[in-house]
Amino acid sequence: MFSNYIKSIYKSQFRQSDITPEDCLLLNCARINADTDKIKDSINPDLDWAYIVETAKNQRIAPLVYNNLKNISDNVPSDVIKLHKELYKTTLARNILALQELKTILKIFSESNIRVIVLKGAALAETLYPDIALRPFGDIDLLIHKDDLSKIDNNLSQFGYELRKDISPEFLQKFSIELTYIKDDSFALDIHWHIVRLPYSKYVDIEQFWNNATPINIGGIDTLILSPEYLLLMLCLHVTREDYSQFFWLVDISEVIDYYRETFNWELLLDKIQQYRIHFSMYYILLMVKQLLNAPVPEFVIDKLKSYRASSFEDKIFDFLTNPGIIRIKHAIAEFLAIKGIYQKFRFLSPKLYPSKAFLQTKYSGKSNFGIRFLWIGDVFLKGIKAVFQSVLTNKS
Amino acid sequence: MYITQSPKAAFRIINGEAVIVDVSTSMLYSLNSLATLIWEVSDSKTTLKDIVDKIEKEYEVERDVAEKDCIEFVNDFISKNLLIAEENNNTFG
Repeated sequence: MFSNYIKSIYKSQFRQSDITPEDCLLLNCARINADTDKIKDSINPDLDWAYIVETAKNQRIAPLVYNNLKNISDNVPSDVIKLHKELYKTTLARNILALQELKTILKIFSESNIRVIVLKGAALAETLYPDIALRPFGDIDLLIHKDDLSKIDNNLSQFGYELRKDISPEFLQKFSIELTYIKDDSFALDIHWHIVRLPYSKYVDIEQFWNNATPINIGGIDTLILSPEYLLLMLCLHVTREDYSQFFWLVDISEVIDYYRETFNWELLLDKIQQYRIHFSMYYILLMVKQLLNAPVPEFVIDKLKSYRASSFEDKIFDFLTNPGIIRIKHAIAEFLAIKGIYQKFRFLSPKLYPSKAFLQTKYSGKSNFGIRFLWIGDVFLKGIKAVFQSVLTNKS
Repeated sequence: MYITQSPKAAFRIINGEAVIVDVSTSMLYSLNSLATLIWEVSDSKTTLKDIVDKIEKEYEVERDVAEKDCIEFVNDFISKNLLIAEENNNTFG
């Protein structure tokens, strides 16, 4: 849906006038405190309502759209309101169930003295959004200390949670950042001990997230959520990792900026962006939420991030790779290009190009120690070739 | 006679009114303010008689009206397994 706008923002060719009337209505509705006059102005008799309903559903912004259209329903076909209302109610039911489950989990963890930071959807629905139904979420994501991992398994299994074992949990504990528990084959609980994977994770000190976390009471249980600046960082890292595949993540980012606008510490954010080497991604994400969703990102932040840009040669490579389908790879390349100095570039890439022997032995179990390095290099090489071909083909089409 | 919320029900108070979800069916029930009052005090500590007293007082209605509304809601939600009657199954036992 919005991938064309994302692409044109990347190419610095974005104009508000390029937005189609349907997308304009959706963008105007995709905020908590939407401007009713703007919404009314963007409604006309020729709108493709089928597209609007489908897109709102796919991008998971239907509850927000319903919330903003229900009061001006005279101008909107009644079927459209009805369909959005159904989606709103489904989200409400699902979120009530998920938050009830969250209460149970927080209680279990609290009784075992396990400190928890509630992440993503559940945290946002409980804090930022005035109505929990406005922020759909499927899973519950919690951050705990890695040392506490050994305590949770028994506790969770007593309440019907089973560890997903399609990838060995030992492998995940060593080399990943999360474990997934499933209940009743439907409800997923993701337990994180870090928020970003390699190569970024070595620049991101997770203790800073803990030290700055904000206390909150959810369902009578004292717990933590991320502080505004770290919350924004986490959401932006997440949206990049997921290739912008869901528009409502950009809505979250806009709402965080809006909700904390009076106290948000932009200088701290800029420091962290520099430290985490994610200025390239952050520049575009903040530009997108400003241009598409009117998020109040200060100009000096955009200017500062813009000044971190890579050279014109690097920009050309970036333009060549401009394809919303592979933004994650593109960002990784962009961040790599922006790192100054060969040694620093090597340090950034080393965990990917030359992973530890233990990692390779677990990944390629059963293969000879001699062969595993070659297998890894082959895998990385094939992935690179695939990404370039994918990009060339998409650019041609 | 005590009434208590079933563990098969998840709920949330939104704008002063309870929204109940049946955990086993995901069916959603939006309660009005009277039903919300009954739901909130269905805590296994308040008797059904006390609930009726509360309705009579807060809604300034005749006792038989309060009793009828209360029984109707409680029986309906017991049949849906969202409320549980303790001591026996007769709501006014």
